[in-house]
Amino acid sequence: MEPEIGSGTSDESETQQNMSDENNSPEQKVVRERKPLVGIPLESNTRLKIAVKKLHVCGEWKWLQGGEDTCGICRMEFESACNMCKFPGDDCPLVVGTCRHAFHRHCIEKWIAAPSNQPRAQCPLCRQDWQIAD
Amino acid sequence: MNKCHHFRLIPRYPPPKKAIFRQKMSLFDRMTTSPEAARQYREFCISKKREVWEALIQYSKQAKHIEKVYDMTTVLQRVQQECLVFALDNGIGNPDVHHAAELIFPLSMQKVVIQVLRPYFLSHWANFRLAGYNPIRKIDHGIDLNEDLWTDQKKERNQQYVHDFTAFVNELKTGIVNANRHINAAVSLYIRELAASMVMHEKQAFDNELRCSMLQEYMESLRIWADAMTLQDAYHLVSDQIYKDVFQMLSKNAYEMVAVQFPQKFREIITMKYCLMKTGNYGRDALTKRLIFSVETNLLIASVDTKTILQAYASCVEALREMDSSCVVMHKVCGVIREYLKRRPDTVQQIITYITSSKKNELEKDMFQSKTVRSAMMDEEELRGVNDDFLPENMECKGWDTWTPNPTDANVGDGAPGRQGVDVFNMLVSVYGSKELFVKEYRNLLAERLSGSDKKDAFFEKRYLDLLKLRFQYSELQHCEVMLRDVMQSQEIDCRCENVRELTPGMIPVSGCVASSHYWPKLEHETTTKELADLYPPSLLAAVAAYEGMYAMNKRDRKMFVYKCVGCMELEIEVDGVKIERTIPNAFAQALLLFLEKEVWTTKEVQERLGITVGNTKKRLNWLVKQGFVNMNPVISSDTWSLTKNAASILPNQPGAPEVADDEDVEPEDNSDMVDALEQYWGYTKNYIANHSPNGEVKAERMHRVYRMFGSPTSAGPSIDHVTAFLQRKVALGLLTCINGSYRVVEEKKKANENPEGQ
Repeated sequence: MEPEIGSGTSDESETQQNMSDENNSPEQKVVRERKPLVGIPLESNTRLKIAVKKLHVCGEWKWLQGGEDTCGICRMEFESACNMCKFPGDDCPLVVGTCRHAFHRHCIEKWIAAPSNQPRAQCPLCRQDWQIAD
Repeated sequence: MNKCHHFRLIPRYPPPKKAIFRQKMSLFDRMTTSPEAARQYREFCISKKREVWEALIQYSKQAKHIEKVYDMTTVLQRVQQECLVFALDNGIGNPDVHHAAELIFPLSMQKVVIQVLRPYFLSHWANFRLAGYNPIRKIDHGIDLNEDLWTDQKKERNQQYVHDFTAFVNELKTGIVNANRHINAAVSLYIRELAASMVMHEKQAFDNELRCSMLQEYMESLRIWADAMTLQDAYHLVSDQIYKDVFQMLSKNAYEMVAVQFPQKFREIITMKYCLMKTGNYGRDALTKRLIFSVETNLLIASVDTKTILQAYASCVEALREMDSSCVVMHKVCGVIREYLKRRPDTVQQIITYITSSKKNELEKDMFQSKTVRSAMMDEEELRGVNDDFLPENMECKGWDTWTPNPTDANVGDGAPGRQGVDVFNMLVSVYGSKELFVKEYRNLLAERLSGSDKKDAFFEKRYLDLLKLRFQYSELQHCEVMLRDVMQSQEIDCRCENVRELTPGMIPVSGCVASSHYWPKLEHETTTKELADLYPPSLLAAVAAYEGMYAMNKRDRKMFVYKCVGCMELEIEVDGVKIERTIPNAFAQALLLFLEKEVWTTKEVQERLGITVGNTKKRLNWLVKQGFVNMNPVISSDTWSLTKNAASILPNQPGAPEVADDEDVEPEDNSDMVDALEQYWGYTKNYIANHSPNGEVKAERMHRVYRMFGSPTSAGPSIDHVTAFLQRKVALGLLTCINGSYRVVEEKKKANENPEGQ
């Protein structure tokens, strides 16, 4: 993948850089210009020498909150999208109430908007007043 | 009164019935033919027969000179005259025209008549062609014409010949001594002969390909020729037959044309289509049978790999769809291939690989360029309405007068055999039986490509997915769409990581793929009880941690969990100064990294260290052995693995097999001696497999054990690879089949028919 500096990313890289290393020497610029990646050698006690040029990892994401449960309204796992969304994750976020019950945001918003739940909606699971936790 | 006047004015009009009757009566009255007179007339005619025939034969040798044709015409006229005079003199009355003709040109001698007249007509043809020759628009390929000889003077002579020949034809058609009943048959035969020779000549001259336009050209010129001689009937009698001939001739190579070298002979396929059209689909059934036979004997055999079959299948779809617009041939031939493909274990994967890689260019072309050539994939929009004619509600109001029943040779119960969905893609998907299976398999393949490899092309996959959306319900592909989005979002994180890394010396570049696990197929097939920290050295851990941190920072409420055994790393590996660059799956890399610590490991140590099962441990270590990084000496201990002493072995000596090879792909090159040695057991092996209970199937491992019993216990004996290679060799020869790793004997009878137990 070509490294590409977007306008939004530079700020974050600055902060990262401050945390880890202040060194911004011209040699590094040179390294950056060079297309082929340079292998980073690993420590070795044997005749085998390995340098890693790039690591490809693979993983899955989980919400920090909500646990392994499913959304109490749409019965979908938190990590998948609610019935109204195509894509999980950013487009279909999770909200947690003060009662510690978590729902897809779209699901609970629909619940709150329902006329029977006006003016003050309650958590559909525990019937406490619904309020989003900070 | 009025009527009579009318007759006098236009004497050519047929006289009224009454007049005919009277004339006939009068003729009859004048016929005073006695048997004796009739016999005399007969004898006279027969005596003239020799003269006529001798003249015909003599002049036929020089029929290209118009003078000789004049002479011949004169002879015919003279004989006629003599016959008439004889008849008058002897009181025969008005002799029967057909009588004399039959005596001179008897029907039983038709073949000879045709033979004798041939030179006359052929030279007429030659002159006719030359008279109409146009140097700008040549239609004879491969014939070198000396254009200097083609002068106006010559052309005039040719035209003269054509013109004057008419008298001869007229004489043959209408005189007393006519050969009229022979003439149509004769000219038809000449036309067929001419067509055949022109077609063959054209085919030879034009790279063995017969273009439809040329066939039309030839047929047209033959028709005009027949017209010019006022023998149109002769042409119409035979034109059908000519198309049949051409079709049959082309059918002989149909298999090569359609399945093997498909786009090359495209124009010939069009020619066949034209012939089918002209003859009302004559020979279509025979063509289908012939194609099915060729396909069964050449294509659907064990030694042809699935990819080749798929390619042939795709070309068959495209070619036959073009050739026969009712698609009957295609449905039948492709049905046979499809049934066979369903029985192959690797078909499903191969199809998707085929569509997404072999047809990649075509697909991209389809995606970006005009919509005119969409052979690989048509979209539903274009297909809509194709079969509207067959819908009952439409049948009532429109198109009812153009409706035609199914062709008689169509498969019964196929419904409307229209062109619905008969693009390559649909035909391939139909191999699966259902779209769901296809999507499932596509998803697996997509997941593999996106997660496991170092080169993921999310943009191409996206475009491809968009294309698939044309064909599938949205819900069917939603998972794939989420997967691609995951990858694209991960790539954004990649970029941010990259930006940070550039400012951090000594940090390993990292790229990730963070999946929404509910939408992906299971990615993690191997599990380990160890933590990542136990598997990777610190610098790699730092890279992973950096990525996880970057993810957490960008996706506020989410956390990434890294799969420990998925993914790969790009490495530079050096042993004793020998350096290579490899991309190695992480699972195997973890085992390789252990050899940085010490050079010799036992299986148990590795197993405990990586926290994986014994099976997986052996698999990883064996893979390292195969790649040449590690040695295992079975003489010392089959349990001890050490870093290779022979550094050169890590160089890729088997190009093209860098990935984990399937068992079937293992082809040991250097130990063919050992494989050859197994040949001595072939007879035994064959019987062993055939009689092996319960079902005549044997796995390579079983044969390996058997072979080892033959050798002395001390000698090395064949390895399992040797045995597999030996058995695969037999598979390639068509003597065995291999289904899911089990070998069976192909029986001679079964080879011809279907294999009923093969499923």
